[in-house]
Amino acid sequence: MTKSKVEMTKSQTPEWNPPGIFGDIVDPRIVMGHGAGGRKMHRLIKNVFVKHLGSPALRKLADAAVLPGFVPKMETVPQRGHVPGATRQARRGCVPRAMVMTTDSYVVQPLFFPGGDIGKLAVCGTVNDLAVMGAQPRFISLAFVLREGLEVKKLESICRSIAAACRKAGVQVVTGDTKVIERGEEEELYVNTTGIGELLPRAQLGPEQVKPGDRILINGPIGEHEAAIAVARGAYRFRGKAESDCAALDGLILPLLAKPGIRIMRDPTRGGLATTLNEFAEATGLGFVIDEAALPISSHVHGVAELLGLSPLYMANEGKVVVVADRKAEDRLLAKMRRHLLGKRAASIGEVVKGRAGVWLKTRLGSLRPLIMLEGEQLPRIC
Amino acid sequence: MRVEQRRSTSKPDEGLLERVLLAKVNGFVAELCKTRKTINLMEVCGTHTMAISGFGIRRAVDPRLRLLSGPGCPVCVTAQGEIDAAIDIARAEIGYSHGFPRRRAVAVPPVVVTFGDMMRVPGTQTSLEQEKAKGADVRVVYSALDALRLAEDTPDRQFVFLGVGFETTAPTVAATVLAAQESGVRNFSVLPMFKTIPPALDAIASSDRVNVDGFILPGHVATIIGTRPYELLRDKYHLPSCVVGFEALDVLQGILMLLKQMQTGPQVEIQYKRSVRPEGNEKAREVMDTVFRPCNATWRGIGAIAGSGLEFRREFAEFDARKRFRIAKRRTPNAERRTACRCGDVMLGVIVPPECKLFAKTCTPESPVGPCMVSTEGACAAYFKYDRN
Repeated sequence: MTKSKVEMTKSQTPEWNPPGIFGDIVDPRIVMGHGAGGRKMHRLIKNVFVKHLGSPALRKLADAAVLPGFVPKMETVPQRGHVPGATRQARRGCVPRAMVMTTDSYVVQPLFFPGGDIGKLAVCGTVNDLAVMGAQPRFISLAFVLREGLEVKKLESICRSIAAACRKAGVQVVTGDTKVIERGEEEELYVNTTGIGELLPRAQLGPEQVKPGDRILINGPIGEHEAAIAVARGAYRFRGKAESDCAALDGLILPLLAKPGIRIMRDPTRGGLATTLNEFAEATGLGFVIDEAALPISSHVHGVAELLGLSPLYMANEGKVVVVADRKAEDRLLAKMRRHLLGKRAASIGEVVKGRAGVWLKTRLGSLRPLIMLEGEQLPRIC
Repeated sequence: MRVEQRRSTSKPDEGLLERVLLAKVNGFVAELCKTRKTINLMEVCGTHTMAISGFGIRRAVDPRLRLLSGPGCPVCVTAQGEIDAAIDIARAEIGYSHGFPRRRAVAVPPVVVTFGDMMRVPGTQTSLEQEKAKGADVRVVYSALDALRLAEDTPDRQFVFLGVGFETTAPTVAATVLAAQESGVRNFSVLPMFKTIPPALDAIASSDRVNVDGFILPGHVATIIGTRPYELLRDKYHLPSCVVGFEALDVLQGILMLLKQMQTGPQVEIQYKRSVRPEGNEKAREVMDTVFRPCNATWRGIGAIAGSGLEFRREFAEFDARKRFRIAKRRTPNAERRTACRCGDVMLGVIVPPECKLFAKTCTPESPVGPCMVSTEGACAAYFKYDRN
């Protein structure tokens, strides 16, 4: 048993790089697991994309990049005013704003699912990536890749929901592109987006802000999107009320930034809550302990997960935000989130600790077990 | 504020029952350990492996109670040669026979249909996931009937279902084969790699290297086969055994029942009463016996165990992918790469995964060396995921 003791001291240092876990091995070919948000994808990004393309902004590997040329000096930003009013005032005074940019592609199958469609998903996902960086979303671009044979009716329906989502989030579609590819087996449409937003003056977010003792909050039950997609795909032929949580979170998130206290935020999409927390843990070198009993999970998501042998902790969300915040601001933030439609079931799920790097789940039995980042896709189990 | 938060997220007594049971278990362990050093209970089901690790039971119990993972993961014990056979089919490195023109070049490679966790399991050279990336048509389904439906939808292609699993999956595959026979589907076949649990338990209990004080028996398997086949544990080896369910409470209660048996004498008990009857599911067994018959099988990491596999009966030979695609039965033990891997010892309960030299060093879920690391429900993979400090 001396071996496991060695392991323990090693894993407590964040630089620990065991071979094959963070190592430099990239598979000779792309497999589906490379797109699942887990270690496989992170390794691919690090060893292929960042290696060849790594600019300082890209190296941060955040949801969106604060564009270097536009970062204002903090003293030029007016200190009074409220969010998002502050933005308007500042524009009137022609104060240069930091711009934030993000890009994302959407390949969801089926195109229409309970709770949304690929269009709504594209706008919401882009808006959320900007909002979690503390930016007010402003502009969006859309590049469509259409498959030969796609019904125009479907395309129109998708565009309608894009328009509705844009109106709701106050963003404009300013440019776009259309390509058509030959008929294939499945997907009929892919969308790529770019989003541009203005950094809010009070948004000082980043892994360096996270301190031990901070609390981890989430705005509602996890795993809803993936459960809805699994049901909508129809392969398992079970029915249920599973509905995607797909929603734009700017209205929920940005008012939270009116007062200080938030350290970092991220929307736990692919790879779910556990993956997002692992990204935080790697970026900060701190430990993130979440309480199994406090996790909001709907019974239908639990049911779908159980049947398919998946864990809701690793299931995708599209309308959730993980907020790491100062302990003192916890109650205020929770109360504020719960007043919003998208934060009704907001919960405090854990805290940041020192000396125990990585992500840990406090089970109902009171034991602490690690919650690692998955390698690739969650695969259904046989028994 | 606090009260409201509790109401919305969890009940106030969340986990109370579990903690009470846990305290009882630990009390029994302390009592029993007055006369012995450790208590070794072995579970032989991937879902138990995952439950014990996932619910944090292994970390919560007295460390003198060692919860060992036996050969309970059907993916892990699938021999490398069998995986190679599946990969050969996906690559179309095969020759047709059995109702098809001989030695016909395979223009359209068959579609390999499998349960998800077989995707990443490496054969001697490559895995199905890698082959899929190279262009092989490999599809994941949740049941054998889904595979049959795929075959019916595309009659001009051959579909091969990988028949992996224990007595839990074998009857569903057998039922699918019967359905295929009835509807006259010609493009569906099964590559049988099934294993059965009781012969494996016999092998483990009879091994003199093994040190197991009781068996946590798999609830799902017992649902089908009942408890009769397990009686040899009591009668032949005088070992306590208990059929256990898969929730945290089930497992804790099952452990408690085993510990009590250690004091009062071995029995074959059922904790998982809501699913398991002593006689099992006769209908499922009948279907299974109609299509399959026992055969010898090689368990990866353990070796050959007599009568522990299932093969097609002659009447159903046309559904045997080995025959249809003329796949030679390889001598699988020779196909294994020799390494310092101690998965055999892990599966026999001689050591726990962290005691293996390779664990979490050269052997990880990304580049597994041994069978216990290859599948998500293997003992080493579960330790890697949940029980590494």
